Amino acid sequence: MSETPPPKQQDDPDHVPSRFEEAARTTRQSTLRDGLAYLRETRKLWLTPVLVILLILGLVLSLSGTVLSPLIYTLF
Amino acid sequence: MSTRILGISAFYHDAAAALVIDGELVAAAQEERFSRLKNDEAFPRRAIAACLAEAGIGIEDLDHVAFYEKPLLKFDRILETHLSRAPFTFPQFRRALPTWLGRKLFLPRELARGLEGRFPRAFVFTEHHEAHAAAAFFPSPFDEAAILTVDGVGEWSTTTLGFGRNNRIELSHELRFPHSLGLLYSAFTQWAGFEVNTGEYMLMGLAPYGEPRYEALIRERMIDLKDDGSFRLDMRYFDWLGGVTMISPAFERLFGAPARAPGAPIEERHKDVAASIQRVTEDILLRLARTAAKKTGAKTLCLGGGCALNSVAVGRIQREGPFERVWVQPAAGDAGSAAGAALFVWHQLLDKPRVARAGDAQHASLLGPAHDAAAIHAALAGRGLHVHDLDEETLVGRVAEELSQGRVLGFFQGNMELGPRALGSRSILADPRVAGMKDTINHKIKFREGFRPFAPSVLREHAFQFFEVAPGEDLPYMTHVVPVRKDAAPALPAITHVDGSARIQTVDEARHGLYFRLLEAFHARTGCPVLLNTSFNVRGEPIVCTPEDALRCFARTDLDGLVIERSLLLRDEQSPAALAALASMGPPAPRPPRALDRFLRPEDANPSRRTRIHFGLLLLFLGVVAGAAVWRGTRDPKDLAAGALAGAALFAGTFVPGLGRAMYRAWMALGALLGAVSGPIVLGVVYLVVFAPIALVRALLGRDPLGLRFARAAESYLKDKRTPREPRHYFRLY
Repeated sequence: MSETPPPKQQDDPDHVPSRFEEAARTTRQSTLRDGLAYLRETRKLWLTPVLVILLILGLVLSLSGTVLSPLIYTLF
Repeated sequence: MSTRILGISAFYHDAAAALVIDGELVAAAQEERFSRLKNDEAFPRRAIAACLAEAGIGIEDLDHVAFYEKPLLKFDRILETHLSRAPFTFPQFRRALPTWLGRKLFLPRELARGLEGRFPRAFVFTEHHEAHAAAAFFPSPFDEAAILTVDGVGEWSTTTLGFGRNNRIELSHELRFPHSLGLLYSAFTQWAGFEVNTGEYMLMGLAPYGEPRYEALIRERMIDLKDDGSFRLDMRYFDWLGGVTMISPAFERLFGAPARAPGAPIEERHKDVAASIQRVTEDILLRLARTAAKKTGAKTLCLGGGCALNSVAVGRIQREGPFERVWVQPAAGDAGSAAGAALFVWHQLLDKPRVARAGDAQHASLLGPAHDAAAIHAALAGRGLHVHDLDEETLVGRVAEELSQGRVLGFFQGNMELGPRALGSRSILADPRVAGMKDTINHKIKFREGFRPFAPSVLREHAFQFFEVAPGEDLPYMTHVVPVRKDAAPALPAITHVDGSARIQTVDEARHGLYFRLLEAFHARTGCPVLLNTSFNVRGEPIVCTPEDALRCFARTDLDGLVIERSLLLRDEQSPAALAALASMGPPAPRPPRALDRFLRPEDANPSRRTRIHFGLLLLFLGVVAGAAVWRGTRDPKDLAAGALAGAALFAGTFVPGLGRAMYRAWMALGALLGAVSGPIVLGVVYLVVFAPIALVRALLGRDPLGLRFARAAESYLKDKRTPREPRHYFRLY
């Protein structure tokens, strides 16, 4: 007959995972998603076009660190 | 199974890491100590490695990683500033925005990269002042306490008030950017000719030499201060809203002189202004402390944030404020926030109980790496050094004897301190009774300004005989400046500041072990239970970390001797050749860069094989495109083939040793050169087309989103703040 394991203590971190522990394992973090959620919550959705422009600028700036940099800047 | 939480602070200044295992702060260190770059802001890779090594675990063993700021809230503040103040903020926009868009905004990616992709879970982001508050309250010896955090700025908050009880902290009020006591003090630091972020101690040390003649001027013109300690600043005098410095020309006009150039003589005016801003700072902090007491009803106070390192103000809060006891996080700046963020996860988010201890949850702040006997032996061996290897009893007797004869020794023992103060593990020690000792150490050993004071370490049970403290009072962290007793001051000239005060460290056996026994031995020989204790470094360098750092510092200064664990070295016994070899240890002096390197980023100097393949493929593609462009005009297939062949030749060229690297570097230098010209133009266009019109419209509509105007009739500038109760909120970047 197999032994039944003793019930786990409440303060054992391996016990039924808290919602926080669960979230730590499953949450996928995204700057863009959180950024939009922040704009919604703070009623600053009017800033969205500004952010889009800045993100395009960010993309250009990040490409400027690659071998494409002379081509990127030539575009301007 | 244990729960292991790593706290990280980085990307602004004073990057650090801290490891908390089952609620116990087991290790913490600042990156600067390893990189040897003062206030290093880089991802604290080496500090993390040291913390993990202390616990014998790897990155994969971590349960949570917490970062000390919420990046989107901080970016919101930066955007709002530009959208309110354009077109006057372009210098800051141009400097800061590329870094934000390239790196700081995408912190989960940056943290994952820093941890080599070996931490697969979500990162925790606390607010900047929550991390300060957690670092101030959770390691404190109090079950409950008022909490006051004051610094330059985090996200929006510059000051917060709150309450801590058992395993929870609750921040209830805040003062918001740009009205900041930390930035105000830094502005005066810059005007007085000291470096911002490191020179604030110097301004505080300079203050007692002056008279507060400008105090009324500061209060009348620069600040609207309310009874509760909240305030607004007149931003016409400051530059941090949009510039790249702290003060505006109006500031310089107000005090009748431009900012002192580094190295220029310090005049009476500088001393008087230092005294004036120090008085204003103390007044603000005292008022805020009284407000915290009134709002919480607490009898004890925990202080955090960089302004809590103003030990003169802390001393006044302790003596004149409403609290029975005041505890200050010894690493109250951003370095301590790494520990605060990790402790916040354990207590506040995982809801683990906390028992305030009469002992010391901060572990004497000796949380950095230690070096075992083998490492010390390896550091000392083969260098032609004359070393005395002594047992502990002989060592403390010999060191006490050397100190009592007026010698100055480097003292390297056990775990390195976390925070800006050396507390007997990475210290320079001397006899405080020797008149002129201060000048000797300032000029010959630390190579720093002559006015700067030195702090005392004193046996705890004897402290009240020399300083204005209660018998048995525990002040082990050099966080409080206290008056030196009038009858004792003449006997301690080297540690008594010009105003008769000292930044005291009480030493006890439980915390300090060998350092305690050294003080006892010094006391037995001389009748004086006090030693001068200053950090083991020279001006502009971080405190030493490894035995090699200590040996190098010993050789490059006029230290009379060096104690590394149980080994004693005396300068007189060393050969000049051995000392010269020690002094030249470390990385070679950098060569002047070649012309090409001036345009290149450091990582472009030595491209990886993968990068070179990408580069080769790009050249091949460009060759084909060029050939096709010619072919379109001529319709001659040979042109197409020639282009492809040229591309292939260039592709092959990238694999020729030497040639490939040179081609890549030339290509990237071209990109950097074009970027240096085009980058500011692109940024400027975006700024003028997007930001300036919005700021203009807001100004025309009379909006004041940053709260710049004084509200003279208002009772307070404090705003309500709330601490989120849902733990999952802390996975958000805002």
